[in-house]
Amino acid sequence: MTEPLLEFRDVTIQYQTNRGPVTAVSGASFSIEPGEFSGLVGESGSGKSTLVKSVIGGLDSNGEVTAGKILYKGEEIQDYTEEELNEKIRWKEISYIPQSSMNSLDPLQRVSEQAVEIASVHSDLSKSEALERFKELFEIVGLSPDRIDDYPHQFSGGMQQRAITALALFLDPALIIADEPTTALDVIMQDQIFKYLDRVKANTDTSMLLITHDISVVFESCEQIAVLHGGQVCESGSVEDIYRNPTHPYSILLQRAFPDIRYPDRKLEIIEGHPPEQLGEVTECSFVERCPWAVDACYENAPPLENVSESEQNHQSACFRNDETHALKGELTELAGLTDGGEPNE
Amino acid sequence: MEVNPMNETPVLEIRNLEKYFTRKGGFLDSLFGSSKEPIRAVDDVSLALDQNEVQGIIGESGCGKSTLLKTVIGLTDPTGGDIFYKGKPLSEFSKRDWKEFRKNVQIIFQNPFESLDPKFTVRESLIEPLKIHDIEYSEERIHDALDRVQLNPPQKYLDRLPKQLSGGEKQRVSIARAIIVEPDVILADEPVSMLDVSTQAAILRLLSDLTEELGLSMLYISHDLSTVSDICDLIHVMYLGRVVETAPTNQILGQPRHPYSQALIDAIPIPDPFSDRPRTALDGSPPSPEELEAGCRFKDRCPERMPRCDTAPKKVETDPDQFTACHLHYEESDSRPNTEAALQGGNTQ
Amino acid sequence: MSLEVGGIRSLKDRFLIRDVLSGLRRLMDDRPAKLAMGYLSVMLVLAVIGPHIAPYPYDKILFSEAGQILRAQPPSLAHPLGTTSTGQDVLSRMIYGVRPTMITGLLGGLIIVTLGGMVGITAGYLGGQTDNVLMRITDFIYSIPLIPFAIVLVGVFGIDFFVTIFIIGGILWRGSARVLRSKVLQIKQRPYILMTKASGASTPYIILKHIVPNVGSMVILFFAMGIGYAIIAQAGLAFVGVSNPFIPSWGVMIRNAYRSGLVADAWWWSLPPGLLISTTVLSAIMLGRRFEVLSGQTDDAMLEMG
Repeated sequence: MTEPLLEFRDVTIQYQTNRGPVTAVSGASFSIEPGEFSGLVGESGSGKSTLVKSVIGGLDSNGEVTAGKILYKGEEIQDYTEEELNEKIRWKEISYIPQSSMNSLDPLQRVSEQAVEIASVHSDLSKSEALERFKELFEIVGLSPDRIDDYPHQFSGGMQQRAITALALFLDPALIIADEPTTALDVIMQDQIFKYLDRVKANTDTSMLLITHDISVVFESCEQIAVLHGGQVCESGSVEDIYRNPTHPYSILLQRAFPDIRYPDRKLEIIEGHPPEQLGEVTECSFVERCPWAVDACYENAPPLENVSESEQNHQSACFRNDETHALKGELTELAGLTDGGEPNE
Repeated sequence: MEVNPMNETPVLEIRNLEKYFTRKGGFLDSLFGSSKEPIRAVDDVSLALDQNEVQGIIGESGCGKSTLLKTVIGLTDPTGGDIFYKGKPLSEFSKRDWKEFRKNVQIIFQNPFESLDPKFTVRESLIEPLKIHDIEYSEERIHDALDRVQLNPPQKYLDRLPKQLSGGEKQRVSIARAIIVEPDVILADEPVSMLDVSTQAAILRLLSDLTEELGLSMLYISHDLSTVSDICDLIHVMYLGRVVETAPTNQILGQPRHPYSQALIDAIPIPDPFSDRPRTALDGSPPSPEELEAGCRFKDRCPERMPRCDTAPKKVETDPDQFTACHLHYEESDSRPNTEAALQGGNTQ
Repeated sequence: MSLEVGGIRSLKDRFLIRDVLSGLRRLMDDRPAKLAMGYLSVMLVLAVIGPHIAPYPYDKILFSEAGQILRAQPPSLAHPLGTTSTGQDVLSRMIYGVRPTMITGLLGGLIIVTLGGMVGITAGYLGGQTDNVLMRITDFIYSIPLIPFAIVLVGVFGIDFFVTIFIIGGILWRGSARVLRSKVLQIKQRPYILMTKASGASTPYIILKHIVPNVGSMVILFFAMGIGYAIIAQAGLAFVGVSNPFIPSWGVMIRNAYRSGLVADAWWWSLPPGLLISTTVLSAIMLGRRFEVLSGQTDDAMLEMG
């Protein structure tokens, strides 16, 4: 196996508050391979934003990676300073598409000027080379190349999001981290963005880490998925494996909570409660309070990520009852179109 | 619109409703006397909501659905058309009628984080509408309302402030606040769009159960077709101020006739890696409502555009109970009247 | 249950009282706020009992054993802050000066925030013509230069301690009116206001029950800042002579020191009132600021004033 591009190894991130340390991420492990699109799924309070910030910098000043390692191309980056991140990582290696694209372009600068500025700080591209490249990228993300000299306010919300994507691709990074890139957009606009991200995937060898609460877009657009709940990685693996054979109770329920337009009469699953706020060290499964199948062991320890089956590569789940959930799932109402561990539909 | 089998008056009816915003021209405009076209946020919308019926209004942001809602509840005045509550037009309301209307038509907003006064405890938020309407209340009534929205036990929540509640709990309190005065109609403005998916289904089911149990009618506004199937009987698809298609929910999901409804449905992601859903064929975003041309509002983005689209399409019954405003579905020579207009007895366009 | 339904609520269920109490509780946990509060409490106490504990009456002319007037004596054990050029005890004058200063601050602050609040909230919530008229009035007040205006008015009404305060309050409300108006413009668009409106609540009800409590922390901030600004303005007016010279406020002291020509030499006389004005103003403003920050609604209020 090749070396992963980005790897989280047992990462724990804590915020120091006046009530004591709050654990936002605990013992999270997963990795992104070169050229792969990977989705990180979790609801609010799952720790997904914290995890992203730990890579690109920008953790609040009271937050810190207290255990584990974040490896980028084999190098530990969790303790990088701002300068090191700027010099070695940002734009060139990892670029970032923030959730609120509207606020991340400088309103007083033409988009092309912002690109040239990034080029001059982070690369040796000449101005004309930079503009040439930027035009190509505008084409890829579906914007007309003669609009690179526009000001941000001349673009609509969806177009700004694409302009940001073009900027993110600008220095040919190995990885793009997209934090809920389409959450604020309508479905048609969202689909347009993903249409162009598909194109990015086809035309470049950039990897992507897509942070979202929407399991549907990950199933459609990514190859790998990691499901995050209360700061713990519940389950990770290929989207196909997790679609066909979700093993962690949270992934099982989450999958069933999503509406599928093909089956409008599906009774959607409800997951009661919300992810806990972990004060201090984490000593139990973070899903235990919401899990219909919790047993005593779940309160005593946080379950480790373990391989689910030999046939499914990289498919790991963190549940003490990994072997049983398949059977337990039978208690749930049958969902139209979801065959139990069987073959794909259609 | 659906013909009411019982021939009862609909609880709430909207006829050819228009809400235009006139724009103040700049100084130069007033100097040269050029006047600007008004922004047509809601343009000729009609619907009739029967007792215990739930209708959805679906459209992208900026299509005018929120303006429609605010107009219906009387927060802004319409610039044309009329709204009827139990057969009586709002324009002829007396002060007492308004008071009655304000009690009987309640609204739930999208953002649970801002729909409760941060300074009010749950109890105070619930008591407030009762006080406003001089309704005698007992502790029991408050408990009962919280019970109905499944905040159990009520004592646990009564003295909390909004910041001590999760998003889903806040939305439940908003719902409790709406139903505590025993209204007939609830207007819901995207009540789940800001909640996590694990909570969305719960709130939707709660709303659906409540309308059932209490015999409420509801107008449900959303940008998301995938969440409305559980709750709405009838769906209106809105685009740039106009309703382009109206049909029972399953029909619109299964056989959308308007190219825009089709595009909306096609763009919904499917939680299945094996589905080969093609990405949307639509490009660009809706034009700004300030610069609308004559004819069909969707024509510039429509994959089926024809020369005829430069005239406004009439709304015809394409399937039983399904009404579509698109030239694809009738011949130019078609003498069928504009169905909706005929049913409403008014004239449109 | 602390609330009898339909009956009398216990005091702590009134949200205004609840708000103030929780605000105070939070202030008590905050070091800068505690410091400012402690300082202001001492000042308030001095304002009440000052004249009783001051070693000498403020206007008593002191003589040495040799029978000479103790003119501009540097600090000594008997007179820790020395004496003035007319032989009065500086410390005693300082202590006497607390009362007029605190009255100026509290009354001035109250006028500022009451006028500013009424104008700002009414204009913001009602909008339209009312807003237009009220804001043009505010703009007009902005165009008035405080000190020349005060000099003219004092000429009309005569030099009076309270007249000065009313003039100050009558002008300085303009900043709080503007900021409160813009805050209300934001709040009135919030769903809970729309919801209350849609359920038929009257305008006065919405303003009193929803708008005022939600701008409450800002009102308190402006009250605190009003205290500070009123004290400064009063000191300024006193210095140019537009204040009753027989009321021994700190501003009057600085003026006297200046007029005696001994500002630089008799530092024990000129410096303490200046320092006390600064620390008092600073404490008031800091307390307001901390209250606003701690009540969690920091919009980084544009601290526009005066």
